[in-house]
Amino acid sequence: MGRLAAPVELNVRDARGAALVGGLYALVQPLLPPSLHLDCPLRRLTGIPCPLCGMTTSVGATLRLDLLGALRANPFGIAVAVLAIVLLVRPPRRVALPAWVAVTLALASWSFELHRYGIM
Amino acid sequence: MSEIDPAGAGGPGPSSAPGLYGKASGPRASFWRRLVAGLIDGLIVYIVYLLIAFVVKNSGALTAIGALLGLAYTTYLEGGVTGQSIGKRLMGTRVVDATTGGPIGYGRGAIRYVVGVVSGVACALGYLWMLWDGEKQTWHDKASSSYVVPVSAYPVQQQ
Repeated sequence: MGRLAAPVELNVRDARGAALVGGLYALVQPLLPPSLHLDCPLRRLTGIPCPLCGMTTSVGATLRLDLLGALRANPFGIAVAVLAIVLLVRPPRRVALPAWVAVTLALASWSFELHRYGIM
Repeated sequence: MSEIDPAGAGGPGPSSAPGLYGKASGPRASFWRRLVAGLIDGLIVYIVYLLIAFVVKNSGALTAIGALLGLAYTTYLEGGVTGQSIGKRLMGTRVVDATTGGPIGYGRGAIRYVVGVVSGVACALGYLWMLWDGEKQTWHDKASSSYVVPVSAYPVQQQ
């Protein structure tokens, strides 16, 4: 229980790099040929989505202000897109949340994707 | 200058100056360097794979060759004395043992590759783990008890 109460803290400098790469990729992905789309290997191999499935589509849709499209793909992508923008525009010194919140969010995201693909 | 505290910059283990490198106990390779090094290595292995595909036409054999190629490349280069694949060499990073700061050896080099595949399976969650891990470790770093560090802080020891 102690570990779940401990904060999960982003390495802000590295997260900014990931935000830039991920955000740009999410923006241009619809323009890329299907062979350059980063499909989830877990879903491709087993048919089961992972907690991060739909995230690229959702972040890209949010950045294009298509909030309905973002909600359909993965609602948590909207929060990730907002976090990415904040990290790039006005990076805070510290971004942290309790581990149990992070785990709950990941499980909620996974549940959404399992439901979206008709598994749950 | 020892392997454990190279360049006086704090070794792979607990540093004498906590907080100097964020939550990590010493300098760690950045996301950018690791990403670019990974892309370079992936490109190199893919080019060799394509060359082999000109000769070998059996798809089952090609899949096995592709997996073995990646395994051999990572095991030999990252498990070797320098801990550097070609991508890591170009990006100025290397793999070191989390405890001693020395080479991880071929066995753990192989573990890095195998768990690296697992790291990529769930939308690369195992790679993204470094973004919030205290020691900036991915799943394959953890499985092989290693850190990826900048060469500027942990120079390769001359034999």
